[in-house]
Amino acid sequence: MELLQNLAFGFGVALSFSNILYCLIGVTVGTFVGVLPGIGPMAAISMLLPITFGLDPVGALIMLAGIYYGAQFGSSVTSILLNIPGHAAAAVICLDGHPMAKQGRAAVGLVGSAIASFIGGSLAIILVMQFAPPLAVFALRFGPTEYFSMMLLALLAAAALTQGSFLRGFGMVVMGLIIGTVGIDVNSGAQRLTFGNWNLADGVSFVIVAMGFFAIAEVLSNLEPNSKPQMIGSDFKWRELVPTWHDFKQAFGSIIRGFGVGSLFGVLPGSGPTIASFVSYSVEKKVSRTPERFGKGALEGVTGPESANNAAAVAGFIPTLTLGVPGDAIMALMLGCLMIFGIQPGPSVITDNPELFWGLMASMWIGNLLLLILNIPMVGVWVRVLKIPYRILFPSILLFICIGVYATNNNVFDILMLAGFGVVGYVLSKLDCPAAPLLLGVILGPLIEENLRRALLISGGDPSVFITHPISLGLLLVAAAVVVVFSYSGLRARSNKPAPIASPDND
Amino acid sequence: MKLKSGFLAGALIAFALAAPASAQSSFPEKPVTIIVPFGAGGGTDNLIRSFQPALEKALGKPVVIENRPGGGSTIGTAVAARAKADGYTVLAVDTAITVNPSLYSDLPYDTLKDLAPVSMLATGPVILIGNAGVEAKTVDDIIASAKAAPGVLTFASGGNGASTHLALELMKQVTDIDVIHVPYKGTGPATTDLVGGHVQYMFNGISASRPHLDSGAVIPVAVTGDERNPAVPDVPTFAELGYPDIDPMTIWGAWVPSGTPDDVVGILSDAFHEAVNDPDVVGTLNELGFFPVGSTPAEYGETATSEIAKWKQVIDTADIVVE
Repeated sequence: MELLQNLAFGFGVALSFSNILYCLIGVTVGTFVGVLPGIGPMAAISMLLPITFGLDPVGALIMLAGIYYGAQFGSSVTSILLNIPGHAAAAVICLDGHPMAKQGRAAVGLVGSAIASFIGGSLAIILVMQFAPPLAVFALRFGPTEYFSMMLLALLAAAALTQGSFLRGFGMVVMGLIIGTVGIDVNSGAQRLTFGNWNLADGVSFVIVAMGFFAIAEVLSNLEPNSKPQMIGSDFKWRELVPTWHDFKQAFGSIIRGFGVGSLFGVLPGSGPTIASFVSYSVEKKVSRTPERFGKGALEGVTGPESANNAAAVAGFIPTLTLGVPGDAIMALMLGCLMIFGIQPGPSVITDNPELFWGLMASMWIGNLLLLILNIPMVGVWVRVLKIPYRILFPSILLFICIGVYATNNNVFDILMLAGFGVVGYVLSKLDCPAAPLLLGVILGPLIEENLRRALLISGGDPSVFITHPISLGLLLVAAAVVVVFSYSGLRARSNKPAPIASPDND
Repeated sequence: MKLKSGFLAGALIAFALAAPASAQSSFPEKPVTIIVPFGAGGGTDNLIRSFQPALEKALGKPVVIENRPGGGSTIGTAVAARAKADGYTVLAVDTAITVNPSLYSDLPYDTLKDLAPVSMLATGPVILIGNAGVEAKTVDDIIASAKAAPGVLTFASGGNGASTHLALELMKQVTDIDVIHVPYKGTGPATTDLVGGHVQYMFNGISASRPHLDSGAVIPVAVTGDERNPAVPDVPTFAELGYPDIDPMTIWGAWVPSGTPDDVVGILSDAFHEAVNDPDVVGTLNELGFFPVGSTPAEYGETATSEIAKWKQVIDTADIVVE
């Protein structure tokens, strides 16, 4: 077994004392970065990048990678406990994670998310080890045409994110698409919806929208005079950490599906963990026999996306390492780091720098295990966070979010924008308008538009490319099938239930 | 007694007059902030960080790098233009500083009025690369192919008005060809699609192209610059192929708010000169395909003025509109 040999070699590299230490530092920093709202792995890695120049390349990459997937791991903690996503990819964890916490099941949610992350990440590592080169070649076949069809499919999945009124969900998607168009248009260079303000020229950052709609809106709603008293987290028992057989059965399938979704989106450059977690949530809701539980504390709504975003974070290394094609801005930073060390990413990286490739892969597994070991005992600590009086907790959260949002671009305007989205988000949540479809619109809108126009530009304006490219055709057929299934089940639901009135959000 | 007090007064006056001068010649007395109007990890950021230690040695004080990205460098540049003109805020920027005046009609600053040049730091030739599968692999073949079938070849760029786009426009104008320009959000995704064969050609930085050239996923066509680049010695220059007018270069330079005292500008300029010509720094820069410069303020001012005029003509001719 060549894989086993390579694995042994990789563990030999990763299990050296210094590399375990780098890995531990990385995942610990990553967890904290993830837990602190607004400070994402991007900010942490760019701040720490200069420090790594003194290390050897393998150690440096192990540490940076640790921060990256450690942050994916840690960011769910605040989503579940406080309805405040640690960073963008965890926004979707709020949807069911926080209702779980409100029901006093915070510990189950946290442990579930930790285990789901571990399994999703571990399976993705095996995938990367075994199939990295062919997967990278497959990813390269995705051009503008394929991306357009894929993002269209993902947007249709947004329909599953809507709870209650279809009209409200649709309206929120449209609003998200509009926010997504703000900024300098890539093709024409025209400024759209910037009102002549240079600070809007690069568009609205997804992080700011997500923080405003979830975190700031949540803090605002807790300022209401008749807001609920603190009650969760007071009756924490260690026995609750052990998932019941029922929980396990519920979660297992979702973790495996999450891994599938996450790997697919992770391998493709330009999509990444955030989209993966949203799509996974939609998939879970669609395959569930009891979709009405979603949004009210369904464990699969936490474990699926959690597995997906960690799998995507790991799979994102495939195009980065084997093609030198970074999947997102963070991967681009890591690529820059490799090149500073004089390592040329590309298909030869596995043969030329085997200690780097296999060592990193093995370290990721060790890192995921370390995260699990670190985080399960931490659950007790996290749950106790809820005991902090709100008059201390919420101002601190606001402070951290502001620091995080400011640190990304060193721009005060971003904080004002955050405040604006917070107020809008609060008002919309009072009107029972769900935030998730809006966020998906913000992410997918620009991708759909850009790839549609680019595909048509390259084809000379011929729209038939979308059905003559086989991958694109396949994706569009799936999209059509989704529409048919949706409308069929919608019709059936309507004939069964006489009054399909918007069910008010429990949130 | 009278004489003595007169002497004392004279000495005091002389001291008082000398004080500001000596304060300035002792510049810098505190850390100097360099504003980089691009994100951390980008080309300009990497360049400045590569000689940051040498610059700190030359100035004798710490140098703080502050990334203020956004708006195609306009946001960070505006911050620098409005900073106190005391030499403690320096702007480090690439060709965007000379391109933006023609690209944007409503810049939040007046480049040559609000900012004063300090030193040209480095130049970086660009390379024309193609997907490994393209049929036309030389400049002549590309021109012939584009003339035979206008509007068919596809060229990616890092965005509308980006340096990689303007290089293409310059080539189109010099050789009078018609090709399709496909803009991306940055050269990263553009390179991905070039490697995947979804677009055929693009102008790109040399260091960013190296891994793909080495793996054989893309082929080199030609580089800009007067002489062959030590980072890619086998690739011909546009000049030696008979197209000396296809000469876009990325030029990095340092600026301060206008009104900064001349002697402070001089100290900064000398420090930059020393830093970029430090032997270790030169090695790093050459490896990336860059040439260190370190000019006087006047030389950089002249270069910037002529570059602004050059890009104005290219942009006006190509009718690139960015509101």
